Amino acid sequence: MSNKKAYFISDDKLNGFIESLNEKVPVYVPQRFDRADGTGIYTEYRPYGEGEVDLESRTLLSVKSIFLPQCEVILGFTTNEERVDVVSEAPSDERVLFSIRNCDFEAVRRLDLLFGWDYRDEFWFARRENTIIVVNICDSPLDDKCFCHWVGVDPVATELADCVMLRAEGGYIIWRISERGDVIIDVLDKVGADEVDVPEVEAKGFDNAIEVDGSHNALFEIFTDEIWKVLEPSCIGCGICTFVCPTCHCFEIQDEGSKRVRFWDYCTGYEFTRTEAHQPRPRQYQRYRQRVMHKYSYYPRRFGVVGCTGCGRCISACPQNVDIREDIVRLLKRAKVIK
Amino acid sequence: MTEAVNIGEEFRKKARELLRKGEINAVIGYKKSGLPPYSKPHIALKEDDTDEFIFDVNCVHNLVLYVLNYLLEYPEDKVAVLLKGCDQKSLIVLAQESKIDRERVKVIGFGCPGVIDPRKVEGDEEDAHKSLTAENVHDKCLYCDVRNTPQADIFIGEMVDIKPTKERYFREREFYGKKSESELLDFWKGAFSSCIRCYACRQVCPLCYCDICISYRNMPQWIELSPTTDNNMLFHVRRAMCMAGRCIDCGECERVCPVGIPLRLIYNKVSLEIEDKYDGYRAGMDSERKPPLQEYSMADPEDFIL
Amino acid sequence: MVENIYQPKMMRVIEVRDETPTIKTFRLEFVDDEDRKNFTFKEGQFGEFSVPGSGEATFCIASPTFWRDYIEITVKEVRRATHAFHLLDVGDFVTFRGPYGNWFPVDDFYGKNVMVIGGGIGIAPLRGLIHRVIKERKKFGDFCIIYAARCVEELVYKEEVYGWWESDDICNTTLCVDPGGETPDWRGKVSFVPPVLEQMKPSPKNGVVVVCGPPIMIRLCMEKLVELGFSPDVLYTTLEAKMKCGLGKCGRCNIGDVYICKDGPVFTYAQIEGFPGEVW
Ligand code: SF4
Ligand code: SF4
Ligand code: SF4
Ligand code: SF4
Ligand code: SF4
Repeated sequence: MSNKKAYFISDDKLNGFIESLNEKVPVYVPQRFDRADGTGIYTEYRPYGEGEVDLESRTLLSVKSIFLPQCEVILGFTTNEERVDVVSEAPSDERVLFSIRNCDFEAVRRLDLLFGWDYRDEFWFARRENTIIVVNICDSPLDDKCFCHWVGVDPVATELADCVMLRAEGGYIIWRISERGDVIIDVLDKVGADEVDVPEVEAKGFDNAIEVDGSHNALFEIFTDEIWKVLEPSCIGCGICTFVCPTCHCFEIQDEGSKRVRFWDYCTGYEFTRTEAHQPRPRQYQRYRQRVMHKYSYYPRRFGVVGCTGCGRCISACPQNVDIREDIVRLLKRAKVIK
Repeated sequence: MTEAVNIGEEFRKKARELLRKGEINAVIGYKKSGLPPYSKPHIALKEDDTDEFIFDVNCVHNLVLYVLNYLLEYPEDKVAVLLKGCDQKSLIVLAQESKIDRERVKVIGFGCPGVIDPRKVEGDEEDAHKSLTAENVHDKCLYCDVRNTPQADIFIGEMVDIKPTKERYFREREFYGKKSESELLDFWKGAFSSCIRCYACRQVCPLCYCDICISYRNMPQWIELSPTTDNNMLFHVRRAMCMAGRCIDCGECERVCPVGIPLRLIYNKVSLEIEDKYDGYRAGMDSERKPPLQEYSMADPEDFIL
Repeated sequence: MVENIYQPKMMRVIEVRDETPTIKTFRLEFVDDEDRKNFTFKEGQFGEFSVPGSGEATFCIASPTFWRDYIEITVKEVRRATHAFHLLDVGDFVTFRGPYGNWFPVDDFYGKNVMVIGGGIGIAPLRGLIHRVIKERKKFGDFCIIYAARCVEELVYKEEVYGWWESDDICNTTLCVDPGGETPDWRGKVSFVPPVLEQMKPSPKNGVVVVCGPPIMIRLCMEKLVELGFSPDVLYTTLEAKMKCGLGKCGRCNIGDVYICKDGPVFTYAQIEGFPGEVW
């Protein structure tokens, strides 16, 4: 197989292709689910076969759930009179993550910095290492909520993926980047996808960027500014924006029965920092500030990259129409980074 | 269907006037947003903030939540708020529960033509949000009998006279009427398997005001926190208990749920039970009548107590 | 899996002591000899402890580093996890992950005048340090302890504390309780800590101070000490925050770009002043 060759898979063959691939390696792919009462849909990365494949809408939950499941058992206890033993299992099976966008892919890599920092979280890295990644590059934004180009993400980056796919008239063009991508190419061969040339890709429609990179120190300086109190009075402190966000990593650990489980938690909620003795963030504006500052100031100050990859999910999912872009622009103006 | 009454102009004028006179510290209303449902809550603290106020069929949010939050933060202040008839009912409940001092709130009422249900037109273009149609109108508006905000301190615009066209809670009556118990169990298991426990339904509810929700209390731990189907189900059953005799069907919980669980099917069912058991009691309709689950009477039915 | 960083070691309770009606001290030893041999820690570090099935909680190790066979933790009963601890008996199992975090730079304190200020259960993280100073008494300058609690009953490690109080040759100890918290036979002071400092006027020259207690007390003490001429970088404290992992992953203890579990819990007042806020 040459590195240069690409394959075209038409929409009507797509499902068959994923199915054949799934027989070799389990495939996680964005799928549509009807809501319980039939009003509308949502999409999510799930094992192939649970819903209807939908590669062109923004998924409600990001690929974070593939590497850091919303809820997972990190260990269990077995008790007898003599002792309590602790058992834990690592996730190990190889799988394919099909059709992820560069914002999500970049988010996962930015989180590698956190999960690998000092103590290596093997749950995260075992899943990172056993996942073959097929990036669906965006030559134009999905919709008006995408802003990856504000935060240093290249929507058409291909280098770090295992395979790359691109929407073309009537189907997708898929080509291989790394050795691990061979399994996908093999299956494409088998299902009789046509060989085509690797396309030249040019991203269009990513205009009017506000450069957020580099403003973390300026933002840090306005932590005590009065603007926070009036910035987002409509935020109700739910967990939606952090749960849908690919770079939000915060979690809670609890014992339930004989299991110790960890599951997502969110800084916009009251319980996040409350202890019986102390609540450092009693007000909602302080909790919203934590979310914004952690992403745009603390994370870059600590790890050198912005903790947001511009996927736009928090914007499309917030029930009270909080638009983080608006707030960032207001803050950057206040910090005199932009006019 | 009726077009939205145009009260925006009058509201802006009124809001400005109230803030100028200084007897009111904040006015809460709606402003335009760039995202569906194309409006969002807005709090005006200065006269100039009032320019942004609007009202149209997309103004779905229940602003009583913001009144409550504002008054918790600044208990000495007074606020004015634009309230639809349905939302106003939650203010009555909060006043009954002594959570809000009604004296500190000036209710600006109007004749409500109805609002859309953003979930019905999700993903559609902005055009679908322009005016009310049979497709996008919210269920609750079809049986609304409080269109002209009751107990308004200031009434702006014209009264409307639109009669209900559907029976109250028609969706729930239909839903529960048709299904067997095991079908219901399957339905709810399916629905709650997708709940992500973001607690948006709780956070957006003006009547869910507990500092520490019982789902976070762990001495003893009533409800486990991890989002498994069983735990989720328990959380929602428990929340339904909190809502019994209190839910006023503003529909906010159902609207905000990111995975689209039809939560009103639960709370309206509970409301139907309460109506049936307690002599037609409906939360927020009559500020004089004591909420049945907050008072004790010898005549209380107890057939549901095992 | 190579290593599960959330995997704890098993320990066994070998002694339980009541300190106050809501505070108990537990002496713990490792179940496996291997773990005991490999275990070392430094003054001020903490760990994640749990009664299996009742959730983890963060406690500092409240015993000195040179007690080789066991460690001690002091637990105030508040919610589920700590309640489970209070039900423990000798012989019961607990799990432990750690030690985590940084420590008091005790070696840097050699030759200096050391002052230790504790409030309530805030004496626990300081206990190891106090024992160390007493053990290596000659290596330090003046040694002074101020210990305050809400009332006499709330004093933790009573026996030890009274012991320090009586050994004037080793350290100069001041005990105080808040006004109203004294008993008829109370011989210590009745006062909050800042006025005591005001009275004592400790000399900033060649001095270091370590403070731990409720957030408000730490802040007021720090402010008072700065007023008395101490430089903020010789004022140490250990901060408390809600923590779940202790490994810098779960994000709860994040204040500004600092993660208390990794960059702390020990900070100087100079460092804290650089935080954006949200400490107290
Ligand atoms: S910004 Fe929106 S989604 Fe996020 S907590 Fe606030 S209301 Fe919820
Ligand atoms: S903050 Fe919002 S836009 Fe940025 S990565 Fe998270 S969800 Fe996406
Ligand atoms: S602190 Fe908040 S914004 Fe940052 S990762 Fe955690 S939940 Fe997300
Ligand atoms: S229920 Fe009544 S008051 Fe509420 S939005 Fe509908 S029509 Fe208006
Ligand atoms: S809003 Fe929906 S997903 Fe979130 S907790 Fe409520 S029911 Fe669950």
